[in-house]
Amino acid sequence: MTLDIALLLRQALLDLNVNGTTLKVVLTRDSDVNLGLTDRAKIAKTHQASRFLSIHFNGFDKSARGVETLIRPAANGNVNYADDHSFAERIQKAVFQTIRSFDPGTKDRRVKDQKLGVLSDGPMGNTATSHPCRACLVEIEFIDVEQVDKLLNTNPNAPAVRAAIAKAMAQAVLDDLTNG
Amino acid sequence: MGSMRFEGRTSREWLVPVLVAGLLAGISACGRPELAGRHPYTPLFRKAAEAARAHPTGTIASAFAEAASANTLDDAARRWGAFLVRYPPDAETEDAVQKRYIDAARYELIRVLYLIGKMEQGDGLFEKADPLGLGG
Repeated sequence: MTLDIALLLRQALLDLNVNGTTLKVVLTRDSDVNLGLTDRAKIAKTHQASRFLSIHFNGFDKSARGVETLIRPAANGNVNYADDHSFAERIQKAVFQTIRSFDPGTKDRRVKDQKLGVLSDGPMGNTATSHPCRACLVEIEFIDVEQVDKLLNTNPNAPAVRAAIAKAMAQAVLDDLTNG
Repeated sequence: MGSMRFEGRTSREWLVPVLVAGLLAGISACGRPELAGRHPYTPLFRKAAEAARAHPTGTIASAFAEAASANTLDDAARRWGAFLVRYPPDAETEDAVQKRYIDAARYELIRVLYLIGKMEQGDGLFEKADPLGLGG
């Protein structure tokens, strides 16, 4: 399902018209293969990406709910913490509000700091003096909760919900690119 | 039926001091770490442990389920300690799922250490866990 959302997001980003040009979108994977954390970040550097968004689904005890977006703490070498936070806020708001419009049972778990390997600035090509790539990791919802599984996976309306989430994330990326 | 007599006392008269002595011994045993460690263990995050059982071997979820299946407090302390060596709280994480298992393991271990009377070790881990986000 993560890959499905990523493919939907890619299409939603390509469908956006930004001053007559289309965005370049690169996926770290487009099939069910798993790359190492550093390798994923290196893809951002190779393609000189300006935004890096890692998409995940949460899970714990089959009852916890909500959307959360994670960024690397400044204390752990994040050279563009404020930029990452701004990007993460936009993604968090977009995903949370979209899911809430379909299911009021979701919860805003907000933007949080976490020492995540995939968001390391070095492999991504960011340095203290030059940090063009903003990065965050979104945990869309707790997929081990039956209600969430129905909402995003098994209900007849699930493909439409996933598409709406992807579209909202695409708009959040565009807002961040255009408004900084 | 009359009560049995031992050197002039009825069995009921003997029973009271025997019960009181047994109770005192029991209370004393509960306060002794080496005995408290033999008490049965039930994890704090029971629902998470049950859900983790379904995950394949070799994953952090299966390691969490394995640690949570300890029978006694001593066994739980050993298993949660081993879990946190394998998945250190200060290491890089992959996602929120991994961090939540590590945080939960840390609180399980702190709780067990308190329950078996290892206050200083528990306090040390509690301070490192920094639940108030003081960053000390």
